[in-house]
Amino acid sequence: MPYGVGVIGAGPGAGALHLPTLARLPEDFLVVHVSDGGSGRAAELAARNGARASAQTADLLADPRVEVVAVCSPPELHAAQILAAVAAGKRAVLCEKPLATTTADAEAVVEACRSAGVALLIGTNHLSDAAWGRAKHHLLVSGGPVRSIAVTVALPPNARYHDVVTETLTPVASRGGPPLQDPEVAASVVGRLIVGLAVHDLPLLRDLAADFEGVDFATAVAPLGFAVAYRASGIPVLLNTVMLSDGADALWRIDIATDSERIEVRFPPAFVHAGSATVRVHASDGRITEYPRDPDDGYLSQWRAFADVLNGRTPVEYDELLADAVFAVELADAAAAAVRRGADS
Amino acid sequence: MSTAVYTTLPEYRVAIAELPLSARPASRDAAAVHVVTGNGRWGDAVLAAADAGARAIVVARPGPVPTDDIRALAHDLTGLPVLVERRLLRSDAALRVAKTLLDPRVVTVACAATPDALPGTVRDAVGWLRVLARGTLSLRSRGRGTALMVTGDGVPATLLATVVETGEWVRGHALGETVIEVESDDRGTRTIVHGREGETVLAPLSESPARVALRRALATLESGASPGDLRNLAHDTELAEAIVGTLGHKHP
Repeated sequence: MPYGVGVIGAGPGAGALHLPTLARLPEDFLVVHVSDGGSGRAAELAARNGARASAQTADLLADPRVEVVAVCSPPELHAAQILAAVAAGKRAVLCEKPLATTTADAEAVVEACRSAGVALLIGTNHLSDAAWGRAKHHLLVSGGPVRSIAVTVALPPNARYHDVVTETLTPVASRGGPPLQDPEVAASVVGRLIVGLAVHDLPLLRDLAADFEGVDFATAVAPLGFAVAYRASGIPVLLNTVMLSDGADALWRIDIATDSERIEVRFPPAFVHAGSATVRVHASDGRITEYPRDPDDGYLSQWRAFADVLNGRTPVEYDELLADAVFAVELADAAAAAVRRGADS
Repeated sequence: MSTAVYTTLPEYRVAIAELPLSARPASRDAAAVHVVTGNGRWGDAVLAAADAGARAIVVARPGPVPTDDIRALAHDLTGLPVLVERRLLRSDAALRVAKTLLDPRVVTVACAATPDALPGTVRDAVGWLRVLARGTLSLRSRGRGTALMVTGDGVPATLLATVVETGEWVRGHALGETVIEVESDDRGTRTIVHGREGETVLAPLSESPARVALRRALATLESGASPGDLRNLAHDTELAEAIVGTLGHKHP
């Protein structure tokens, strides 16, 4: 019997990401309710899925068929909606990243879920991607200590990938670049992009370099992006990300340098279901090893992992979820401060 | 009509043999293109070649030397073409990338090398950053092995340098509507162009680096153009010195 899922939010995160993913897992999950702030999109999405729609989160949480809540709303609403789901006695919450936008909110949410025994999972598809497990295993058995990490991301508009997994009556507005020449705007943009976009990879980076030490530099990138260097556990990490209005297919890769190898993890574009990431190992003697890809993408893997939690096969890692959330907030705050410092110099 | 070339380096003798219509071997005193090794204090060898009457000079795979020495050399040899064959920054690969680039929004290069090789590797990595960014760079900020630079147009350029036990590589990206990816190591340079319709892996560069450098020298003589190799080398070395210093290694 599948678990009844209530989806809070009716933007692309719901319509182009979680609903098409859940359609691939009918044995485990059934969407029974969709709510949003009254835009009308919830009704559109619910109708396609034979689910109820509402304009209030409270209505969704009052629906007894909703056992599992998927939080797909804007980041600043996540914490309050998770707390409401806990208060409503729901069994489990899968929250799109980030868990919260402040450390205090993250702590409150995790403590509430832990105390109430509510299963909690953050939608970090890169962390759930089977390829990441292979990369980590490779590092453990033969890769040696990590010396540096680089994350390089160039993204065309998401709509390109929405179009291959769904249809929409309400097109997503195209991106306009903010006025990054204003230092406060630039600092805010960099901070928000770290908790909203870099957060895809921060749990992976924490796997390799857990203890945040500080930001060495940060700058905004036009039209919308950032370049940030930070250190964690003595390892330098360099992030370069830009979101574009057109252009090449999505490039999303993590490169890990060890004493004798370079390990390259290339993720497929967001939203699509094209299998796992690719892991390629470049040895210093010229050998290149590529691990076979898994047919499941990270979105499917994360929902399957959620089903395992619900079925009692795996525990909820509350402390790790909290540590990931706090790491993201600390990095975002430090990077925003570095952007302001850079503007002063 | 072939041009006389003086060299004692085996790979350049082969290059002369591979340019049978354009080049011919010559003795040291001839008013020839002189090829000097980039080992040690190669600036002295360049000056000696100039004193011997060289019409143009090729520096083969120069090791790192102080920026001031390179600038002094460029100043002293104004009017004499000096070309530089760089180990991890092939001029033909750089030219091909420069022709492919559109407007990058941010460029980034990572490199790794053993402690001994690090200064030269970082210098060539900065060179790739300059090529990908389409202009000279100014240092804005740095961390331990990381640096933020900007072009005159304000395009950010970031670098990550890593000390490793074995191997040496440079990998770079120009991120924009078109994405250019380059990798360079002792096996050569690979270039991938990412566009809307997918990836294009550019054909391998099969010409030997020595032949490329010698051909450039001959073309420079013919055209009378002034190569910017020493100026670029000084630019890249100066930034590399600042970055290598953050890793606790002294630049030569």
